[in-house]
Amino acid sequence: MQHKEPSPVPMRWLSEAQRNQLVTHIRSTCTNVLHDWSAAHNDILPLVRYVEDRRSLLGCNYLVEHESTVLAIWALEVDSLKQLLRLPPGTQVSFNDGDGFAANLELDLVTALSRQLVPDELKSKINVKRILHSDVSGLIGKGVRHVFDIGCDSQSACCQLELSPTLINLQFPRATSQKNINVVSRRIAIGNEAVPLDANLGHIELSFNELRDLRVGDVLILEQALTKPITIHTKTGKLVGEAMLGRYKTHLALQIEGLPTPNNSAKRSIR
Amino acid sequence: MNTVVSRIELPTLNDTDTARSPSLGERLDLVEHVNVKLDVVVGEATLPIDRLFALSAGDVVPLNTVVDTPIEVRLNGKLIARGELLAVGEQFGIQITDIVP
Repeated sequence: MQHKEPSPVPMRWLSEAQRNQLVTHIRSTCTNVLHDWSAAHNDILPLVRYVEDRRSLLGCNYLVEHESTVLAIWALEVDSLKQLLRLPPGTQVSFNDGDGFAANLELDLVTALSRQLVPDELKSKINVKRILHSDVSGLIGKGVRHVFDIGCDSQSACCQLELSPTLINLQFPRATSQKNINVVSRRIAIGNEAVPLDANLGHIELSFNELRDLRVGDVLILEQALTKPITIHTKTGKLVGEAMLGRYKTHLALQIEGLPTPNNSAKRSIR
Repeated sequence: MNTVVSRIELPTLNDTDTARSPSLGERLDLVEHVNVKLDVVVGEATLPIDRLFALSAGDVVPLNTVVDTPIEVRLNGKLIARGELLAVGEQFGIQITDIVP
């Protein structure tokens, strides 16, 4: 079975022969893997297509649909993990429990990989500050039904998870109509479009007189404290989040501190 | 007491005479205490939508502002001045280096 791919490997649907080979392997090495979702999930194919479209977000190598069951297969190397985390080298990472947003799914998966499947010598290269899940079983019930180690060597870590309906419904709301599927497609189509953002240090209120008398050399004092995060807005004034101001190489930069939670308006607007 | 109530007839105003000079002139004293709000923008970033949606705590987003170059002061979105970012006690400050006409 091809489960140790060079990284990064674009996800693809397996051929029928590969799929059968994989399923045979799973059945021979694991028990209670394949659940028949077909009775409860007649419309799983649109869902599977949606998951396939989001492959870059999932970062997995394969999606396998077998007897209406979706299996996501990850085959990662350390560089892939860093890429998955999308963080500069040396950045401290705090994992948190999934809150329904896809990024947390990735972190949970990395948690699983780094805890159970990545060799010790490679774990030191993954800068993990805190892990809330005590072990992989902590993922079970949080959207992941099963985690299987299907191979591991010094260069790569391979992991296979069966995504539960809970997880898929949470992360990838199932399309219930053609209209919804079209909406999903449009959202994916605009995924590469650029969104301009402003980093606002705050504002100063001046009287008209003070503004008229403003001269070079004058110092304006902002209310913004040095130790507090500043706000990021879209050009239309919508709050994106809060971040600490710093420098990154030759430019000023922001390190994200807080983002809207799933329950607030910004999150709703994303959805 | 008897009060007479009747319809009011307001005079028609004519605004066609524009030749006369404004009597208030530039009476800036009338607006000198009106407050205006200046926004200080340290920079801009442009992210693809996918990247924006995938942002999480700890992510670093570089801005378009080179370190040690002036940052912008805007009035209603319009650039009116530039300045150097400072620390004034425990707060941010900006020293004006350029007034934009």
